Amino acid sequence: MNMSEFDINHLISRIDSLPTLPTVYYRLLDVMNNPRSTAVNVADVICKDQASASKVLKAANSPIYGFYGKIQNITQAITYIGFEEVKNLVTAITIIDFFSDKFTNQYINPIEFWKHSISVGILSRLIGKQIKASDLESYFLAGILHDIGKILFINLMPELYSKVIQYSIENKVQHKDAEIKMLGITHNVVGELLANKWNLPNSIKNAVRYHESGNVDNSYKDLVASVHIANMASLMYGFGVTDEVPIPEPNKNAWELLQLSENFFTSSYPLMLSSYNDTVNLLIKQIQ
Amino acid sequence: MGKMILIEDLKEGMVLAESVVNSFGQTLLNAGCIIGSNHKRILKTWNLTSVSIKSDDDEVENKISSELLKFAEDNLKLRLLWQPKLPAEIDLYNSAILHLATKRQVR
Repeated sequence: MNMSEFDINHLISRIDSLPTLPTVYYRLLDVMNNPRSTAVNVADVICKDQASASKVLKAANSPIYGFYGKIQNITQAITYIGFEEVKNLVTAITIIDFFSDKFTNQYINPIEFWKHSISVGILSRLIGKQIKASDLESYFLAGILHDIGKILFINLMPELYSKVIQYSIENKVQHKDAEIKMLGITHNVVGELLANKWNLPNSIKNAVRYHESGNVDNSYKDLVASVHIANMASLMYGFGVTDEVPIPEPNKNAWELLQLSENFFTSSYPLMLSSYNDTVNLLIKQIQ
Repeated sequence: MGKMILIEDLKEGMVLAESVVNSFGQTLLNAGCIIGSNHKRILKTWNLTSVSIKSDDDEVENKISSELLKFAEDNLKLRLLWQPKLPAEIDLYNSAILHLATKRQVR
């Protein structure tokens, strides 16, 4: 496929025909939405899929939650880190598994893509904790899924999307500008279409749509600002990105909203790095 | 960067690489704290099983040459389409340079 053959309507119909997420995920949502459900009911559903259950358990014990190996089963994980956080871990694990395509070339690499996404998840959560966000449990997932439109492009049209990345590097422009020029649609918009199809929460949809601009004029402004800054920070640290990716200026409104202390990044660095290494080992080992 | 060890293996004189927090998010011991005779008991009371301590490997961080830092900074500057000005931006910039230089050193 080349540029002239690219058809947005065709892309949208392909998104429509993508499979839904595995049934265990929707069963979990059902159980969690039932006010009579207990931690044991939820644990029963998660444990039906042993691979996911073991990842949830390891993730719940990672340094980012601060329980350091204390959580021994899924019921405890739910008690300690909470229903929402466990649900979001299952969502992250399910979606990473869904996109386990191994297509790799000079410009695109799904492993590196997920490494970047995980670092944004970790950084978003650390920022969320610092600003004492009331919906802290959404921050990790929003960070992990912020670029879901890009992985969709990589999955549906790897060759063409490689050219987009190549264009971005050669012309020192952001990915979204290269996408508009070559595809006429950005990963933010495509990502939101996918989030809609999968019924992901509105908080995630907003992060997917606005993480690039850092537009804080929306109902999830703290979350969007956190994912925006976390994304810039991850690009600067170079997590899962090549040395050639240009880094745009963060939105001043996002900095202003978050009011991070002047040593936030330096002081969070050790925890951020150990959480990043742990989570990468845990979540993307199976696609390496 | 610290090394995770079990509370059982913790010895007096070891130095914490990361602060230890309890399940309510309260800091029990700060990073840099030298483990004394009482500390193990406190950690066990809170049912913690492991902590991060400084190890000899951490020396790598302190041995980054100024050339390597400059190389990392020059590379980062090439990619940045802007100039860090706010205190938080400058902090992020410095932390990123240290990380990039460390990564190159380890490599």
